Amino acid sequence: MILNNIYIVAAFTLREILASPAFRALLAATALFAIMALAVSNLFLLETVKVQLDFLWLGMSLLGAGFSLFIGTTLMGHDITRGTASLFLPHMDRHSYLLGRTAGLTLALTLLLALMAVLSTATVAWGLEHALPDRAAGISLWSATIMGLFALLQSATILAMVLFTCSWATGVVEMMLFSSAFTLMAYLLPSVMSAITSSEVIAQVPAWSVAFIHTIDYLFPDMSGGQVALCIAHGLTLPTAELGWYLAGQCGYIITLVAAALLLFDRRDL
Amino acid sequence: MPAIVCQHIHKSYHHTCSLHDVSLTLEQGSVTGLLGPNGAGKSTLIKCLLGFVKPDRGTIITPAGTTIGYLPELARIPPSLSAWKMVQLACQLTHTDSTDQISSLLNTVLLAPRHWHKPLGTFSKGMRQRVALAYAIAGQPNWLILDEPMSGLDAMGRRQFLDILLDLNARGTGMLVCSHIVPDLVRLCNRVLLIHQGSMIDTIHISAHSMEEAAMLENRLIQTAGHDFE
Repeated sequence: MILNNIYIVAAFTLREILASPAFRALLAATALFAIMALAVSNLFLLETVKVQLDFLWLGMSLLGAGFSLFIGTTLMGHDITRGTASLFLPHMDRHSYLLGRTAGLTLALTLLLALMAVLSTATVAWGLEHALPDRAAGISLWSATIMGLFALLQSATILAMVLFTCSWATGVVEMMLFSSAFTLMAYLLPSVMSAITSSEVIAQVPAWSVAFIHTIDYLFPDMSGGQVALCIAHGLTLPTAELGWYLAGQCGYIITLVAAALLLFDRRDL
Repeated sequence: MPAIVCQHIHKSYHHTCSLHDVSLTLEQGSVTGLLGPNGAGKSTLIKCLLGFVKPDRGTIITPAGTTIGYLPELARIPPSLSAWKMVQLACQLTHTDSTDQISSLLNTVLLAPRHWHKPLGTFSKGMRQRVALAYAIAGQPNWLILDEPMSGLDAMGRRQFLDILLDLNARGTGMLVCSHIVPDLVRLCNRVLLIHQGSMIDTIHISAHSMEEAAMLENRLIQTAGHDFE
């Protein structure tokens, strides 16, 4: 019964998103990014395929983040402020409802990035066809697909942050503001951290403040998926243990945030 | 079936009291109206009953097996969805999904078959409201909670809507109706609860469903709301 309710809400969510003009614009943008990757890479004489991959990763990241921040926040915000949730909640518990919404959003995100990965693979295939063999060393036809999987994981992390924010914030504007701020901080913190924790700075800073900064860093997800994906895509080897830790960390972060969102959503007023 | 009972409900938002010591009993099959000025706490009370808002204090006892259909004042429904798909969704949620059931619900709310597969975005407010009612009554709930069901409808639409609700009540569905339209409440309800500044201040029993009762209730409401300006 619970699974049936989750399925019904997920299917409704998917249908709702597929019919929305914003999602159609994102679908159209996948083709735009693929064309732009081809156009931009042609400006470089030698490393065309690597430039293509870099540009395609940028597209995947932007589309994933855009979907999570704009479509995810708007959908959840309207659920609470415009009463869409009230259509479902007399018939099911809040957990089933939020899990259904999460599943629907994740399915739509997967669809978007799958399309982007297919177009990216086609772009890379064209690039490999026309590149000098020694300039495409280590790059395979499936590099873009691997990047798509990493982009999905990273976007799912942002989506989890959005769901967590929407579970306690009031109003679409507040939800979007906090979600965007958290996402921005997650992206910016690693560079700030490396600056702060450099040996010259550490020597000047009391130990408690270093511990405090580390604690804040642990609260945000690791958004270095792009570097990991590009290493793989460019044919560089990554230690398996490092990759395993990264994947486990991301999945753990997503599960923790969704669990926290379920707890908070259960207690909030609608 | 036993009644739904609310006892000593308190609810505050940001230190502003929205409901103060509200108690009421909703007898099965009865139609109760909630009347009060804007901001009186009517919608908060409804949300407490539905579990959308958690009261700070007090208890709400809903007997086992009670099923509640809800018609919100405003619900964002995807405009691309058809009336059929919308009602089908409600039937899926209440495990009564069948073509006959969906047709029967749409017929009950007097929606002509030629509109069944059109997107809701092309519907008038009255037609959308009737689809929302069909959604609410899917699965034959014991109770219907209606928040401003007739607001924004023209005279013809209101009359049709009232007739549908009276017909549902005749078949045993209990109702709690929150509305600003006094004549509609008088025509529909057995009693009207007057709520003001979060407190239940009066209970008026409706017996004749007459224009005189509507005028008396309207005067009582104006008297109550008038205190705000003194």
